[in-house]
Amino acid sequence: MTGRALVVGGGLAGCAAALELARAGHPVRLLAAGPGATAMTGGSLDVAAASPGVPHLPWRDPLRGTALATDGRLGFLLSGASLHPYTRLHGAGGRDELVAAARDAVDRLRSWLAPSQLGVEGDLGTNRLLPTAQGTLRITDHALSGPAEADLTGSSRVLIAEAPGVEGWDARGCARTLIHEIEALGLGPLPVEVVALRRPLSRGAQTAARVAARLDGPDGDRILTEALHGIGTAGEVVLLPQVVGLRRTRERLRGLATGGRRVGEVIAFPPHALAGYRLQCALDAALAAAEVEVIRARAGQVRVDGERYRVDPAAGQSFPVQEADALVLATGRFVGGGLVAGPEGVREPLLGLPLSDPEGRRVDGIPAHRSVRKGYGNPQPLYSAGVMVDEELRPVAAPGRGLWAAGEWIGGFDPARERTGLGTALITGVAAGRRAAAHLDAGAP
Amino acid sequence: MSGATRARQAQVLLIGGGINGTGIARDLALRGVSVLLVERREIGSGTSWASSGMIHGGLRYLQQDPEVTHHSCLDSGAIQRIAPHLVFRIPFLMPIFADDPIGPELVEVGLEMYDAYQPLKNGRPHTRLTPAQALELEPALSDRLECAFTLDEWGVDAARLCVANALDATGHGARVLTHTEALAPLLSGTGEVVGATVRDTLTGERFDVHADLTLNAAGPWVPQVAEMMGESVIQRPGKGIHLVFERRVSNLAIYAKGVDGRDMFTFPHEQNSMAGTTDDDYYGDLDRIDTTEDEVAYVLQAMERSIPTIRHHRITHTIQGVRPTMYGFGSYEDELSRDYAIIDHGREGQAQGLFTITGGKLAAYRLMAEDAADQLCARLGNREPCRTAELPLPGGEEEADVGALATRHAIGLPAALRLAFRHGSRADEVLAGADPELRPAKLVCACEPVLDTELRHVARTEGLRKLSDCQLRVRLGVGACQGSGCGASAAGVLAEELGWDAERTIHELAELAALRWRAVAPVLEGAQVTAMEVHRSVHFGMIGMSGDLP
Ligand SMILES: Cc1cc2nc3c(=O)[nH]c(=O)nc-3n(C[C@H](O)[C@H](O)[C@H](O)COP(=O)(O)OP(=O)(O)OC[C@H]3O[C@@H](n4cnc5c(N)ncnc54)[C@H](O)[C@@H]3O)c2cc1C
Ligand SMILES: Cc1cc2nc3c(=O)[nH]c(=O)nc-3n(C[C@H](O)[C@H](O)[C@H](O)COP(=O)(O)OP(=O)(O)OC[C@H]3O[C@@H](n4cnc5c(N)ncnc54)[C@H](O)[C@@H]3O)c2cc1C
Repeated sequence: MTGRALVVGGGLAGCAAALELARAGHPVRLLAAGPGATAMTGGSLDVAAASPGVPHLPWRDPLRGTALATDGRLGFLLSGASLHPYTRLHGAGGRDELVAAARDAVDRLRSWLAPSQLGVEGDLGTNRLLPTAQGTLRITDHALSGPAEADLTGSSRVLIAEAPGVEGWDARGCARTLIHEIEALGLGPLPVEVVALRRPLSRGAQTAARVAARLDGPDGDRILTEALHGIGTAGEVVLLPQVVGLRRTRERLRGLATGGRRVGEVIAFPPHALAGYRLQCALDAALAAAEVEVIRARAGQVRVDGERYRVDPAAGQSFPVQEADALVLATGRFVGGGLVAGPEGVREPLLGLPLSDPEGRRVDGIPAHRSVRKGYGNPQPLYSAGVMVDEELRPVAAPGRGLWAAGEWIGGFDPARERTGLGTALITGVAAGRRAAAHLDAGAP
Repeated sequence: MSGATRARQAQVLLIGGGINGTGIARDLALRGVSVLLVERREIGSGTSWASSGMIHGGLRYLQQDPEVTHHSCLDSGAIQRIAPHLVFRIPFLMPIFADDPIGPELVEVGLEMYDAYQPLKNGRPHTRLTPAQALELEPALSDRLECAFTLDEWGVDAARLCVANALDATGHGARVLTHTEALAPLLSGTGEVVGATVRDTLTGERFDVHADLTLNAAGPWVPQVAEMMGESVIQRPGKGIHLVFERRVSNLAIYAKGVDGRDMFTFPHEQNSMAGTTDDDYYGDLDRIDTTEDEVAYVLQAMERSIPTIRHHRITHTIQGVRPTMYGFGSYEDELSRDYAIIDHGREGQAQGLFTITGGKLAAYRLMAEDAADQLCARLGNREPCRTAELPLPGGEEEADVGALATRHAIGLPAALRLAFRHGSRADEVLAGADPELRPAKLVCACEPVLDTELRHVARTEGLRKLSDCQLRVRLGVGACQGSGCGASAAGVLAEELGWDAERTIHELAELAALRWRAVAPVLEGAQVTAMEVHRSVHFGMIGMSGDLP
């Protein structure tokens, strides 16, 4: 008889672990309190995106002056005293092993998202140049459908669509900054222009989400086709805000890519972003397809009884105590709910585990404001701390042998500054799921 | 005389654009005096903005300094007349506990005395409430209370009040230069102060402003500016902080007592509630005043006695400032007089032509300005009377019709209300000024309904120069999102209005984010930790990390 597998956390890390466990043939349950950071992401899936200004993660090739691709940057991440979860996982095998693991994990993700028509474009050896809504360029390795189609690499002209009424979208401002970025990065000549759509996408002033919902309606495809009629020719990229529906984004953008033009979306951030929401929806669909049993509720406390874990409902939640022989915790940081900043200080609510930043500074039990530094651009202990894990991704100081950590819940890195957010969630999630599966296969308990 | 030179000549040079500088600029301009005001940062960004924004009568000065109470009440009435749109009634509730140092009877004697001043400022007389009545009004009050009193005060958006004064001054011919710092005195052959060398801190341009008289109205920087002019003015600088809550904690302002017996309060202020304040000697860097953990603990501990659940409320950030209190020896910081002085350095020191205004309160600014302007005018031989108590401030002419505003300009009622509060009868102008293709107005921020039209208006007509100035000018980035939702949109609007290139736009955004971080970090707790996690991801994801962020 196979043991029971349980995952807590429904972001990319938790879903990846659950889907790997399911693939290995284990019945899995997943507890998720609600959407976390994954659902807020902007459209890039960063394994190790360029992060200018972060000292230990150079983004330009020191010799050639060009932007380093991710496989190169991973080498830097593994060297030195970094406590990034990547080093825990593949420190011994070095860069090549990490690169192989990342490739493999991205392939898994592609297979999960494909039925939802959400693509993951890119690879670790080249940079994608993704314009953001503000006109800055995000240089990264992978992108999700929508922004993926807006990769400026190899394009001959950028046309930024004016979409009056779409909240948070300023085509002229985007163009101004983009021209500057292209020049500063030496990408030119690459002309940038603002174009008017043939018909409006929104009805008056509307949020991006509302416009997207409208474009998901029966007339959506026609509205888009008409709006873009005759705009852009071969080699040109047309940029839209994140409004091209909540579903079938890739299929639609491909449909719009007529005559050699491409149509894509900018990278965007809350409250004007949809990419993360699409990702979360596609992951939820994958869980359903893999017959992962999802309990939409918040876990309270994790107890261990011999080699078996018991997960209680949080106050006010009603589900039977969950028992598990293999448990993956992927509850994220503050946005996810995996860390809590309360009057007694910062804590990890499920097990009360110690939390440390990359320099080994403890932040648990200390009021949040004591774990921040004055300068905004400085490394912030509060936002780079999480649970510490060993090479097996087992939380240090956690009881039992059947427990693994994944995603942002793991400390030692700052996803915002270092730009390795979804990549870490994916790679550690896949790894944790496989380890949990192996544990069960080995006959645990 | 060339145009350029004439632009740098004035009868009076004012140094400092806080409530005193702007109030005096308006007073002088209304009397036909030519005025040039330099403010090294944004209008009101010094102590004025850090104040509780209370146009109160100064109940706490009643014992030591009834003169201050009288001034304040009188001027509170005047401010309500000239800027009715900017002023709002704040009823106070004062709970009395068994272990209070002063019992209810004695408190009531004081309140009865204060009642005598209330008519000066359209205040209602105090009332005494039973515990049940008080708890009905404010259920969050500690039920340990013995009884409670109510009394009436008034609040104002202090930054906006400064801007309104500055606008009226410019409307009457004054020149107001923000981000322009007085650097050194201009001296005549006989050693008189005849103006100052100033520097535009954004362009780096330096120039001389020639003036018959120079007034140092630099608030807590008064001693620094005086020293630069070769004079000495001593203050007893008193630092004060406020905690700003994400939303209103109570309907009424609620009194609380510090462990040392000091009075403090939690009070509704615009969208938020604020709690404060402290009063401690401060001799640190005036340009980098940070709130300390002790101050936060002190305020929260006091508040907790009146509102036991206060710690459950989300604090978004703090504001802090230093009172330009007059020097006095021996007394507790708090008991030092809030009265003011106008110093004629020609008489009391060496520097002919230089004056200083120091001390005072926001609530009494108009009277102080009148006094200062009287003295300067006497020196200039100007006999025009002061008219600041009768003439309305811009927007105070008549009441705005909020419903009509909302309908006419297709904006939501909350946004219309907010504009009517900030711009009074000129709210319509703010909305009508937008180019037709920019209508209807777009929401820039959802924490508080800031419209792009208001941003465009302040950029076009109020001389706004920086994105970070919007914190005060339109209350941008001071809500829950701390600018992560609205910073970029606002930067885009201003880039268009002010012709910023991309580099400048990004710099402005980075600066706003860094400033918000400074305001948030000392009180980072609970839900705001999560909000700032989003803030960092958005910000760093958008404009990249760069090591040289301030
Ligand atoms: C605004 C924003 C934009 C970002 N943009 C990008 C981007 O463009 N590209 C990129 O690569 N990265 C980006 N990141 C970083 C990235 O989102 C995260 O690193 C990543 O999503 C973390 O995934 P996770 O699964 O570990 O955590 P989360 O996605 O936060 O998931 C945590 C899950 O755990 C659940 N949970 C927590 N506690 C409990 C409990 N007690 N019981 C049950 N369930 C629980 C939550 O409900 C949630 O489902 C961004 C982050 C933010 C905040
Ligand atoms: C915590 C706190 C709460 C308060 N609450 C209240 C209240 O509720 N009611 C009330 O009536 N009063 C209150 N006060 C007092 C009131 O805020 C001050 O008395 C008043 O704002 C002082 O105004 P000011 O114009 O003199 O100074 P400021 O507002 O500080 O203005 C001085 C200006 O000079 C500028 N400056 C400095 N150096 C130079 C230079 N070299 N060149 C050009 N410009 C320069 C500064 O940038 C500054 O903007 C409070 C004060 C504090 C600190």
